[in-house]
Amino acid sequence: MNKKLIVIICSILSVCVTWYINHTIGLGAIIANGLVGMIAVLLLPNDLAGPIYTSSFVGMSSMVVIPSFLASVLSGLIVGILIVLTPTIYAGIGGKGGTTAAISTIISRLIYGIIG
Amino acid sequence: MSNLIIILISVFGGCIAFYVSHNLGKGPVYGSAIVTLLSGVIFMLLEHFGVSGSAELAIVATTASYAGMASKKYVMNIWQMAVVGVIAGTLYVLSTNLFVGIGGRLGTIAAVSCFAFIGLKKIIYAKFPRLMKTEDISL
Repeated sequence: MNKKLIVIICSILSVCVTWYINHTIGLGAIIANGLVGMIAVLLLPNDLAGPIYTSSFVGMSSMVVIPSFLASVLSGLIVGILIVLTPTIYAGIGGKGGTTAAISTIISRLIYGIIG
Repeated sequence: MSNLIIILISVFGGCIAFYVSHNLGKGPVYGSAIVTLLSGVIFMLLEHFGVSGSAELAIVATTASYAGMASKKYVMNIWQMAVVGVIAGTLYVLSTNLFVGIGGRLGTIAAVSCFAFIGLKKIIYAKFPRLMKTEDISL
């Protein structure tokens, strides 16, 4: 399968799992993010663990920002596309992934606002 | 929670993530994720047992751990990482009420800290060129 498509699918899964652990199970954003990151880095190759950890930041959003599981799927799609489009920009800067996630979350929020 | 404790936790969180990532060779995702998970569990337990403000420290350590994912090209050693940790902790204190609930907010604080550190290095090296290390290729 195309590598970029795999990254997008993994991003969607990562956001959904983080959102689920964060809100549905109720462990909170920090533990959800840490769990997803550790599972990704222990089970998957580095080139997939990075995008999964980055996407996981989006799932740390509050219920006001990502109000439902379906919304987390859309957010995952957006962050996945952004990760695929911006692999080299500011590579090596700590926090690059978080900035990508923040931009994705704001774009998702805009889209929910338009859709209603 | 005292701002000084927040900055101290930020320095520790960032340095541990950086150490695990580079010195132990585990990579940035492992370095950050282990700090995030452990700080989440430890500080949430402390909060659960009545140490108020502990939950916020977990968030601070997580923010700094994202900054600790920086490559050695930009943050060369653990002492430089400590400075990034101070910047990240200070920025966290200053931006407590900004973009709350937006996923990626903490990572953005980490990125701004790294950029601020790189800018700071440029200023210091321009003023005191003797301090510049030959292996510092970030400038």
